[in-house]
Amino acid sequence: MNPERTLGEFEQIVLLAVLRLGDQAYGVTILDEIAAKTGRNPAPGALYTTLHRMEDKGLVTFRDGSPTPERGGRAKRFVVVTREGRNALASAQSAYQSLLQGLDLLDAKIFGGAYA
Amino acid sequence: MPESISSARTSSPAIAEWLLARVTDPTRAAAILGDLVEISAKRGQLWFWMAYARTLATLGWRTPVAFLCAIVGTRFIFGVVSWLPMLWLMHHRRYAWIYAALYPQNPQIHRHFSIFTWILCRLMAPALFFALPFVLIRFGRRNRLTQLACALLLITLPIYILSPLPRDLSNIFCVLAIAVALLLPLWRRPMIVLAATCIPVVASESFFLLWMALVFHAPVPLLYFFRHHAIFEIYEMTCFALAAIVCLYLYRWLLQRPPASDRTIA
Repeated sequence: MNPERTLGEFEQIVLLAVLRLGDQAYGVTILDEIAAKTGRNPAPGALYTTLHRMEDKGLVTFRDGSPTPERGGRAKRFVVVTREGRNALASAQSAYQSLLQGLDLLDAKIFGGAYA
Repeated sequence: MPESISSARTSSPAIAEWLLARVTDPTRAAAILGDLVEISAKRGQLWFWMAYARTLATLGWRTPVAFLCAIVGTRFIFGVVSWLPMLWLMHHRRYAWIYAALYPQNPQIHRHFSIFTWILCRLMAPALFFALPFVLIRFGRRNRLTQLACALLLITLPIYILSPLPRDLSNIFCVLAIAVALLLPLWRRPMIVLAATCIPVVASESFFLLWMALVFHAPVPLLYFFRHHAIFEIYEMTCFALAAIVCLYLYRWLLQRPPASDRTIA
């Protein structure tokens, strides 16, 4: 794998959140989605740093929305995952999947305390 | 512009957006501030300013830290590194046979070429002591600009060795590396950015040499004027700041990825 395309954990979370949100993915909704699905409350600065880094790597791209009053007249910048981003995410996730195979970590018993 | 939009815009000062644009770019800054304004409608003004300060620090810490480390690199590391190899290798003179292989016919070519390459390396090496820490911290170790600066610094280091063979080989390799970087499309733009970054530092170094000459040879009034250390300090810091600004702007202009419209969207 190209080392420049290796994804960190937070990058994967952000990409998954963007893919889940579809064409409504921008800073506020991405932060809300991550908070709702992972229980984390990432700082806005961490999200923007990650998004900008992924933009520089060519993993995501942006399209401008129209200005809205609740944003002080500023436009939303919607995030779109590029083909490179989707491939990098699929590659990272398949690596996780192959490592998880045979471990039964996602079995409900482990969370119930049987193996804990 | 509708009144509601106008009033909401004034709730976050324009200077906040301007400052954010300095550490990212105007489009990104407007979008970030818009997001923070939107969230602050639920969480309040205190949250807005705290989130703004954290975002500003997260996005902008690299540039000042990189600049400070570059100053340290130029002032202190340069002073140590440039002398240690010299002390270690200054008496090693056992490779004379390679000169015969390199310049068998015309020793005059050797002399002219050697002087040219030595001047180039002698100017390049101190500039790289500033450029390498700056680009390493600002852009990261995987960046091509950092890799190129690191390679050139390693090649030019033997310039400080008094033993002629390592010094001359270093000069030749340095010129070759610059030529190859300019010829290869992948490395041409990083080389241009690096060269442009080095120019103000070279100017600073040249002024230092001039200053030294004046201190020892100038008439008394000029001597009193130029030996005042603050003048050189201010000039040097201005050159370093200029080098950092040139590096950041050229990087954004030549090396950052093309805008979104040029990409394949999944």
